[in-house]
Amino acid sequence: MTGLLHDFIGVLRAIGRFVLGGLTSIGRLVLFAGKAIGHTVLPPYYPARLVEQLFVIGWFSLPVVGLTALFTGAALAQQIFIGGSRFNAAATVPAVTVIAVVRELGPVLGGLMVAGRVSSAMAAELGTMRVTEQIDALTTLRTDPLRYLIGPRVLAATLAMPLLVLVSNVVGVLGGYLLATTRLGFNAANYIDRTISFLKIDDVVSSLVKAAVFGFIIALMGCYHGFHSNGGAAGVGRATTNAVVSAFLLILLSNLIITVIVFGGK
Amino acid sequence: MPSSPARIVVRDVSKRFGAKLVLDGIDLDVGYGESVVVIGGSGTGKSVLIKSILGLLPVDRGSIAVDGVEVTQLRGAALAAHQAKFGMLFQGGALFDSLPVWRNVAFALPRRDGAAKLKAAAIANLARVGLGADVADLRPSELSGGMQKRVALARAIAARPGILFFDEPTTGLDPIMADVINDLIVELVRELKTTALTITHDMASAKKIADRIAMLYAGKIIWQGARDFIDRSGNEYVDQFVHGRADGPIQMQMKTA
Repeated sequence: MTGLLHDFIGVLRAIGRFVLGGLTSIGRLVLFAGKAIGHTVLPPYYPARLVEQLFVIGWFSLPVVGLTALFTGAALAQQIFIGGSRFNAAATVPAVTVIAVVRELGPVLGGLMVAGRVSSAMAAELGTMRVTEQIDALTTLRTDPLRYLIGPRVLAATLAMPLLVLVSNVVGVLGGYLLATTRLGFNAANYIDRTISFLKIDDVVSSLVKAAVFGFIIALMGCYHGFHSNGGAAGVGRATTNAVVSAFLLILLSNLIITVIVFGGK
Repeated sequence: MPSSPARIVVRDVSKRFGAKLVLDGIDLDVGYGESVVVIGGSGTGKSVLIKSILGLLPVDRGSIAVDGVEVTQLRGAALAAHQAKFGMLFQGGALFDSLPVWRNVAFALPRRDGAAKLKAAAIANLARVGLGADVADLRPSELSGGMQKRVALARAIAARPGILFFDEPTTGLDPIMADVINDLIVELVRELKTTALTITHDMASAKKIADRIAMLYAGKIIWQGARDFIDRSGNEYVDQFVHGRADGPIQMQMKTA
């Protein structure tokens, strides 16, 4: 009986440790996010660092985001055509493609691709700076590491993602258009007309809001895990993996939440 | 005890990482313009001590005062003002890979001065550590270990801080380059009239840099005295360390298979 009670207390203790550990991590992340936001707003500002990060995050992500959107838009048009043909709705290809791309695939796939490229790079760079004491060195050189390293990255990602997703949406629709007009027999002018007529301003706004939120998440996860990495090269590797995995999960979760809030009542 | 009034006063400072008690009631004073070297083996908490004084690590117990200001309670702008008093040479240099040498050296200087003035100041500081203007535009990765240390030294002194910390300044350098760095440290500390705290396990370096030496072992300062007394300290722990003997009261933790 005593042994059973002892085992039960052991299980409760393990659950308690797990819950407390989880809450501590969430608390640390929320505090870090608050500081990150504060450091993007309050001076001193580092405009050169911001421009540099806009290039790294925005400009250099354009090829991967564009190609992902092009291929996905084309594949989507093909699938909608096949599926729609089964109940004489093949003509819905332009409308469904544009809604699917702008509302979901453009921001989500764009966000995931940028997370894979940028969160990992940020975590690896900041993690290496942590283990080589470069972050401590910043402090002794009259520079707040959060302001210098985190603020510009978070602001740049939040600004760059909507622009990237705008491009992603256009290229995704273009992919569907190219496939539909060259392989599925759609009239070009008719396709464009139906695409424009079905697209609502809400679709574009929700897409850009999602993109800004995803950009914030991407930079936050990369910076948080990199900034707190420890344990040498292995620690930097762990930080990189954690940054990408947590960014992916948070992007998908926040996408669901925004979708339900914006479109759930319609 | 320092011969001048203490600029850095550490009292009963303890710091624990998990189950490991790294600092166990440390007392240490560093006087104005004095150069103190803390010696001790690897993992004895030397780096933790200087990071605690800098305010980079919170301590569990005790008091650290610099210029009469209690450091352990400082936050925000007050902590930043405290940290601005220091220049530090990190063990690995900690130069910023993404910036050229001159930007590294000028990092702590006011940005409003403009690039041309900052670069001129950086080149002047590089000259002070025996490096030419030709290295100013190179990246840290293009420099040898000794040159990186000298650039890091130039960066540490560029803003003319009142206190300089040196973390293992000669680690990884050949004996001649190590002596060059030691000479530079001695010259700079005298010339700039700074207070200096160095941590090292290199006895040649300690004997050259220090006015006073303290030994850290098992989380405590077990001996301190003037540099000239280190070879006749009368402390068997210090003697073993100074002479680098495996036999003695300091036993290395060795795992057996």
